[in-house]
Amino acid sequence: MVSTHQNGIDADYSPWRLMDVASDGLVVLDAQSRVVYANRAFEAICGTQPQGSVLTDLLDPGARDKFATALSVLLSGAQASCGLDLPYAQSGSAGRLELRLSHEGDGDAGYVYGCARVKRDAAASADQLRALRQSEHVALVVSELESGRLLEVNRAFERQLGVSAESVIGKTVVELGIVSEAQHLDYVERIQQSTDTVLRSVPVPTACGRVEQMLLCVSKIRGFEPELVLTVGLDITAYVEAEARADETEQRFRAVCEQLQECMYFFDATGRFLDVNRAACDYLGYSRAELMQLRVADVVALPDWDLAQASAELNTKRRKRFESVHRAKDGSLHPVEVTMLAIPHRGGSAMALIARDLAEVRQAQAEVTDARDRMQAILQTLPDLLFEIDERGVILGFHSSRTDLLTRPVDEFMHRNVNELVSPEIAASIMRGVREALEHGLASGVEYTLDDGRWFELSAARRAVVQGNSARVVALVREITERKHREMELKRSNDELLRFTYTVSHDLKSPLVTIGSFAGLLRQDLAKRDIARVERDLGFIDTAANRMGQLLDDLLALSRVGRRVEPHQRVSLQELVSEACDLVAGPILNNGARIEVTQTPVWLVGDRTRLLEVFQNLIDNAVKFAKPQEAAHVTISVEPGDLPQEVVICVRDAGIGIDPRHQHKLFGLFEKLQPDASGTGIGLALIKRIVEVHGGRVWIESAGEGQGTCVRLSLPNTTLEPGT
Amino acid sequence: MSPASPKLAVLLVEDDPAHAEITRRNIEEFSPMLRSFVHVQDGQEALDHLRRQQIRDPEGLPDLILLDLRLPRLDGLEVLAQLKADAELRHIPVVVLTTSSADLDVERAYESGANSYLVKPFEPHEFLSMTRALGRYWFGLNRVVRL
Repeated sequence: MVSTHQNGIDADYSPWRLMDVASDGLVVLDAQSRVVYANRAFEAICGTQPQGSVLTDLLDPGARDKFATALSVLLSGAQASCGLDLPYAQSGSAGRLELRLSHEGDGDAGYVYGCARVKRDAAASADQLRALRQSEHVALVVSELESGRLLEVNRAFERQLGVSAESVIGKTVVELGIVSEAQHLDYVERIQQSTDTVLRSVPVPTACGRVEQMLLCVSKIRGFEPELVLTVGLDITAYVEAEARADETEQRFRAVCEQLQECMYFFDATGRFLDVNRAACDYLGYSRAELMQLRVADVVALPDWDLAQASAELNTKRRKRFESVHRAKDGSLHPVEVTMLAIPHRGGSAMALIARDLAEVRQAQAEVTDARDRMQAILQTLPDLLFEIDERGVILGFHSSRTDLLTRPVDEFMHRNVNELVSPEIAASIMRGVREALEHGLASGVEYTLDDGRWFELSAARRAVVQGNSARVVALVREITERKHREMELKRSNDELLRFTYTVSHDLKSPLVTIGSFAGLLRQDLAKRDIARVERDLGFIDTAANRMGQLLDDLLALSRVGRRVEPHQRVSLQELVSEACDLVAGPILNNGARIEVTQTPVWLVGDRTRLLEVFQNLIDNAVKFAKPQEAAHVTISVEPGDLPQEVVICVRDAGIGIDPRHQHKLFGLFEKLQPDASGTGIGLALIKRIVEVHGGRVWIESAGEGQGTCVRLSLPNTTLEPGT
Repeated sequence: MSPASPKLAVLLVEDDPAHAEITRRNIEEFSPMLRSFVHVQDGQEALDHLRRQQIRDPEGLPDLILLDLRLPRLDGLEVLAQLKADAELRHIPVVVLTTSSADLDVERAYESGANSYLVKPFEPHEFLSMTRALGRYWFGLNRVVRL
């Protein structure tokens, strides 16, 4: 650099810089034609950095001789300067190189100064343009600047505007409707004022009516008269649309970010904020402008936190979550839960940091833990089984402490379909509940019984569908065996009460009808003085009154059973039978009946007086229904029952037996199969009542009339050993 | 009963001897219209009697059955059901005769095919009006059917 002070030009004046801005190529050569200096314009003409090269080598082969001759003339001193017009082909453009040379100095010791200007060859340019006509993608137009008349268009132009070259060449852009006249004049003015290419993004109407966004690069073509311009057009419609879409997306994204309660910070690798959301500003107490001036390190108040290390970790892991402390504008520190992400940014990556106040997070976590704990406590105390079942019937979850109610271990039924686990009937019941809950939100009262006799009730509630999960219900299964038994007992008892009321009203009314009717007949017979009939009428009245009394006594006896329960005691069967025989001694004696009881010691447990009544009635019946003219033979034996440890007592006779068709009526109140038989028909009803009050059961078997009868009874705790 | 009416053969199914006696004496009031009066004590006996009669002398089948509901062995409703299920016996009108005036009994009796229902004790005139009603609507129809 030369630092001189002359001609009013001050200090940092640099002639080299001046030469670099000149539009003509300037070159200094030594006597060997080696380039000592070349300005930028000359470099552009050469298409390379010519410093140190021999200029002759850089020239077009057709120009070298002419140049060498001119140079030798100059060096010989015969001429101080000369002008050369050389052929030129460089960087894809052809034309002429005007080179003016002057020599200063003494022979080989001096320098040759050259000034070069390329004059483009119009014909060659046209050839090249014709080649460009083939381009399918970039529209090229050569036109007269001022008139706007088109001289040359390429295929891409034809395609984009839907026109043929022949139809547009020679017409102006205004005539063609590509631009308005005012627009055209405006363009011309701007192009004339500009030395550079003019770039414009303009809407261009196409033949098919579509407006395409075109990027137009307009540049003057020098050296022609009238002045020509080359317009390069690129269809950027798709790009413009995509940009508009990207804008919309960004606006949406920004709106969401602004609405979020979480603080969001975007920053580059140096920690400089690229963007922050409203929540972040509010949380830290800064205005947006203030916060954007800061760096992430100004906010993060962790002493050992290092941005470089944090971003390095994100290289291996796209997301990192940690607890941190953020410093607000007023200096206060706030614990936060932070998620840090790497996000793409301008071809590289930036970071996003999403922060939630930890106090809130901890509160939420505490609420979740509390809810879970409460749920666990409820489940622990719940006497029920809780399943999660999906719409297909697959068990997805089980929560209960009552594993003792299960028929198989938890891991054997999890993730299996109920169809594989229970009978088709039970599976159908369960699925009915599941479907009802899915449809209506709730289902209840679905009852089913297992093979082991236990009853269960299923209630179900639909669960909210969480994304990715199948529709499912929570099913609460409660064991209701006891309730079911009570219900059945209640129903049985109600039915019995109904029958009892019916029977009582019917049977008690019967003797009253007799008494009332015969009182009337008696009156008639007395009036007729028919003494025989009077006697008969009175006989009927007597019998009816006695029967009434007997019925009432029997009813009273029956009603006492179960109302007053004596303490249960262990009683020997043999002892009971022996006492019962004493009570039925009269009929036994009259009939000559033989009563045999097993020698096996059998012990019953119950109300002794009632158990005695049972055997008294059984033996009485067996003797009463012996075959006519035959002595009754009654055997009392024991046999094992269907249930484990069950002992069944059989009281068997060889009497008149019972037609199987009538056996169902036997235990009914005041039911008599033999109209002439003595008694009211309460015996078996009473036996049944006593046995049932003791929790046992009694049933009758007879092969038919004349085949004898066997009454079997099973009482709980009956044993063959004395026990304790 | 019109003079042209045929005399009735009546079957009484009643287990209580006293009630049987009352019924017998009440309908004896109308002995001119009775052809015969048979009393059996229970439902099974009634069915056995009717089936024997059917084989031995179908003409001797009763024209009217008076049926108590509460009977030993087969009760009245079962007898009624079997009678009405028997093609040869179902034409015989059955009057249920019982001490119960409970609605349930009345309903069940009619459901089982009873043609009428009388609550004991009945007065002779009740029996008369019942047989008249049956005579108009049942015996007439029965005769037509039998032709």
